[in-house]
Amino acid sequence: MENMLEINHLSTEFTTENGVVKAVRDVSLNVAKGEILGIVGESGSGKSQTMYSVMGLLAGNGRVAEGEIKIDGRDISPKNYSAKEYDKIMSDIRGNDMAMIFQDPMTFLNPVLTIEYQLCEPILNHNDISKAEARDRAIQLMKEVGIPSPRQRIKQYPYQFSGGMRQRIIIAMALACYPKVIIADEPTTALDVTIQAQVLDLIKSLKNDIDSSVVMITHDLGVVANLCDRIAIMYGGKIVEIGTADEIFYEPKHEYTKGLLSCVANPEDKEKKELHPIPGSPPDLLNIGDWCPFVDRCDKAMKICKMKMPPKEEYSETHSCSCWLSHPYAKAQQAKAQEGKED
Amino acid sequence: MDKTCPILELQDLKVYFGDSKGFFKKKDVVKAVDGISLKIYPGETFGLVGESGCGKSTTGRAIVKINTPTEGKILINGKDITKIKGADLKQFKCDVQMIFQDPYASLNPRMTVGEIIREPMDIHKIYDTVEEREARVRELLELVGLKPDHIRRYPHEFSGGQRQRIGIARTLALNPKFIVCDEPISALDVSIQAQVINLLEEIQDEMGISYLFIAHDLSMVKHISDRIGVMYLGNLVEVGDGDDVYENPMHPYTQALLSAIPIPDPKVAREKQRIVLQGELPSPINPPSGCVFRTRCPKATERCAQDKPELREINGRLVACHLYDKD
Amino acid sequence: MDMKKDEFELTPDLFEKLDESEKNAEKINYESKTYFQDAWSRFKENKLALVGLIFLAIMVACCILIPIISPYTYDGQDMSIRNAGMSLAHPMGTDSFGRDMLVRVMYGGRISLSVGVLAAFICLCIGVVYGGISGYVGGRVDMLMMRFVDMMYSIPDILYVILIVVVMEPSMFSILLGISISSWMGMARQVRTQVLTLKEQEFALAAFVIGASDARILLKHLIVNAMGPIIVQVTMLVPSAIFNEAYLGFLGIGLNAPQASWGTLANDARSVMSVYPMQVVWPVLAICLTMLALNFIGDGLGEALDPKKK
Repeated sequence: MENMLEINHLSTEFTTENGVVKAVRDVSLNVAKGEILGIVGESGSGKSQTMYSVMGLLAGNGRVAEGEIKIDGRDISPKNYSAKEYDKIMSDIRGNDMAMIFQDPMTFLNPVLTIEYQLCEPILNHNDISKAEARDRAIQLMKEVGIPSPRQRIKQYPYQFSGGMRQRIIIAMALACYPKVIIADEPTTALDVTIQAQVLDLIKSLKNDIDSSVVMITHDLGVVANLCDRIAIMYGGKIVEIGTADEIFYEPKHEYTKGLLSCVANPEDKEKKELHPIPGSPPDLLNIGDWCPFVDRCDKAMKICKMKMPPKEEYSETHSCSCWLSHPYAKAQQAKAQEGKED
Repeated sequence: MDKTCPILELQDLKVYFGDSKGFFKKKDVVKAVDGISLKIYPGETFGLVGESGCGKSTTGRAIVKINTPTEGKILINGKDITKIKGADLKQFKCDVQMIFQDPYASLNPRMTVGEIIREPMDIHKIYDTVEEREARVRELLELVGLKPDHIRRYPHEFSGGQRQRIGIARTLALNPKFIVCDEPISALDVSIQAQVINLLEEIQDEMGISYLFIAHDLSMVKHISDRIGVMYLGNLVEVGDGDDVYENPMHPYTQALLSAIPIPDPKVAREKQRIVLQGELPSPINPPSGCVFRTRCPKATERCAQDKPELREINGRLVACHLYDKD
Repeated sequence: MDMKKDEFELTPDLFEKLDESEKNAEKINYESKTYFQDAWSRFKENKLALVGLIFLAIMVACCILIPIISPYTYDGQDMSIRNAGMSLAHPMGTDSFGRDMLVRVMYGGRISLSVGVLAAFICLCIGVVYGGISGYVGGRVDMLMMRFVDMMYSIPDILYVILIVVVMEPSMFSILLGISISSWMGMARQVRTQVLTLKEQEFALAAFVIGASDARILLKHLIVNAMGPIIVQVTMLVPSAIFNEAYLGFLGIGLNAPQASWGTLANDARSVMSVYPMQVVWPVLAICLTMLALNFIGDGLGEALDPKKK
C-alpha cells in the first residue's frame, strides 16, 4: 500500500529557560492510504509534538532538529527549505492535503465569526469556486457530520453550539478540502462518553467515505481499540512499540505497553481484576539520557538499559519493539537467575 | 457491612443556582440537582456516574457544604448537617472530607507540602505541638507513597500523580469517616490513575472509610465501587450493585451510557453494538416535563412526557422508568 | 551507526538486573525554589528594572546619609552665599537663603519618598481589606461596596486632596490622608478581581472543606496567591503618591517652610527660575529619575511575578 505520510528519524527540540527539552527523539513512522493509525502515550510522551512538527505548528521555542517528512511523496521537511519557503508550502498544505482536529474546539473556532465564514474560508482558499458554491459545500459538510438543520445553523456563532456540535464543526472544517491525511489530537477527550461514541462513529464513517488516512493521538486505550488499524506506543519522546491493534493488545512486547494494558480497568471483565499500576512518574525530557526512557519505572530493567538505547526488533512485518529484553544475552541472564533461585 | 445505619443519607436533595433575585432582573434558575435520595453505608464505595452537567459534582459539593441545598436533607450518621453550627460543624469538618479533581489547582502553590498537610491539624488543634504534627505529616507522606523528606518542597515540583497523593494525605490528616472523591483521577495519566485507585482502596481497607466516588470514567467507577448510581440531568435514574448494573442495565439511559464506553480490547470492540443516543443534553434551566430523559430515549412513550417516574425498587435495584411499571 | 556500535561491546554481565537504587522513579529533578526566588531570577534578567532598583537604592541611601554627614543642615541659612552656583563646598549650589541645595534636595527626598511609601502602604491595607471582603463575600455586599468605589472614582481625586489638606492644615498627616483617600480604589478593585477568581480555585475550596475560617482562607490562601499583582500595584502607587505630593507642594499647599519636599523645593525656586534655573532643575530631576526608576521596577516586577502575562 502506498504511504500517505512518511516520517523518518524526526527529532524535535524546545529551548526553555532550564535547557533543551527533547520532546521527540528519532521517531519514524508511516501511514498508509485509508489507514487509521493511533499514537498512544501519556502527557509529555511527545505524541502531540510529533504531529505538530509534521503540521509545522510548533510553538515559538520549538524546532525540528532532524528528520524528513513526506506527505503523499512530497517532501515537507523543514530542513530542506528556507523559513519563508516552508511557510508558503505549509500554508498550501494545511487544510488542503493535511487537516487537524483539535482537542478543544473553542481554541480553534473564532468566537466572533459565524460558522459560515469559518467553514467557507478554507474552501475558498484552496479551491477556485464562487462564494455560493462554497456555501453549498459548507452546508453539505455540516449535513455529513450530522449537524441538524444546517441551513439555519450555518449563520450562528460558535457559542450557540454545544461541545459535541462544536467538535463536529471542527471535523467539518478538517474535511472541507477532502484532505489526504487527517490528524486528530485527542478529539474526544473533552467530550462525554455518549458524545464521544457519536464522534468516533462519525470519524470512522467519514474515513470510509473519503478514504483519508487518519492519525489519532490519544491517551485512551479504549478509543484506539475501537478505531485504529495500527497503534504506535510512545514514551519519553520515542516510539517504543508499533504494531496492528491486535498485536499491541494481545501480544504486547514492550514492558511499558504491558504495563499500560494491565493498569486500565475493562468493564467487560466479570471478575474484578487487580490493577497493576506502573510505579513512579513519567521521565523529565529535560536533559534526558540516551538510553531507554522507561528504565526508571521498569520492573525488568537491566544494567544495559541505562547505558544504551535498545535496537528495534521486528516481530512481524507490522510489529516492532525497542527493548533490550529481546536480546539473547538477556534471556541467558534470566535463565541463570532462575537457576540461582532454584539452588 | 452494616446495612442498618447509613453513614450518609440524602433525602430529596435539591440544589438550584441563580435563584437569588438580582437588583434589575430575575435570573434563570438552574436545577443542578433536582431531588435525589440515596444512602451510603459504612465502609462502602458508592460510585456516582453521569455526563457533565448531570449534577454529580454539585451533589458531592453539597455534601461537604460548598454548595447550599435549596431543599432536602443531608444526614451524616443520622444527623442533618444542612444547618449545623459550632462544635457540631467542627466535628463534621473532621468526619467528612473531599478529594478534588485537578491536582494542579487543589494545592496552594505558596505553601510547602508539609504546611499543606499540616493545615487541617493546625485548624482543628490536633496534637499539641508543631513537632508532633510534623511527625504525623511524615507518616502520612509515607502512607501515600512519597518520601518524608519531601516535606519542605513546593507543589509545583511534583508530577500530577504525586500531587494527587499529597491531596489525599491532606484529607487523611483528620481521620475522616467519609470522603467525597470528585473525579480524583480524570486529570491524571493512565499509568498514574491505577496508582491512585489502588491507594484509595488500600486506605479504605485499613481505615474503613466510605467513599462517594464521582466520575465520568465508567470503567474505573465499576472497578472501585460496591454500588453505583447513575445520574441524568439532576436526577438519579438507576441505583444498584456495581456488577449488576453493568451486566444488566435497566434504565434506557444506563444502557446507552454503558454501551458507549470504549472497551480496551479490539476484538470485543469490533463486535460490540452501540446504542448511539440522538440529540443533546437538554438545558437544566428548562428540563423536559415528565421523565427528564424522554427527549433522547429510544423507548419513550406519551406517558413519559406527563408523569415523572419515581425511583422504585425492581429486582433488588432502584430504577426510575415507566418501562418497568406493573400496570 | 557502526561507529556507535564500536563504543563498547555487549557482554552478558550488562544484562544483569538493574539495582532498584539506581532507578530514580520518584526523583525530583528541580532544585527547590520558592516563588520569590523564582521571581527574583526572572527579575534579574530585566536589565532596565535592575538599573531602576540600583538607582533607587542609591537614592534612598543618599537621602538617609547625606543630611547626616553633610556639614550643613536643611534649614541652616547663610546669607553670605545666597544663590551660589555649583562648587565643591555646595555641589548643587545654594538657594535664595543660602541653604545648601544638596542637603535640601536629599532632605526633601526623605519626605517625598516616605510620603510615597507610606501612602502606598495605607492604600495597600485599605485596598486588601476592602477588596478582599468585597470579593470574598460576594453577592449584594460586593455590589454595594463596588458601587461605592465607583462613586469615589467619579470625583476628581485632586479635589479631595486639596480639600482635606486645606481643611486640616498642611502637614505630613493631612497630605498622607488626602493622597491615600484618593488612591486606594484601584488597589481595592485589583484585590477584588483576584479574590473573585481565586476563591473558585480548588485549593480555596479544599481549605473550606478542612474547616478553615473565612479570615484564614482570605489571608492565607487567597491574598497570598494574589501577592504578585498586588505588589506590582503597590510599586505603581508609590510614584503616583510622590507625584501627588509634589503637585500639592508646587501649588503651594504642601509642607510649611523650612520643611521641604521635592515639590515645595521646586515651588520655592519658582520665583528665581529665570535667573537661577538650576534651583528648579535639581528637585525636578530627582522626581523624574525616581519616577522612572520606580516605573522600571514596577514593569520588571509585573513580568517577574506573573510570567504568563508576557
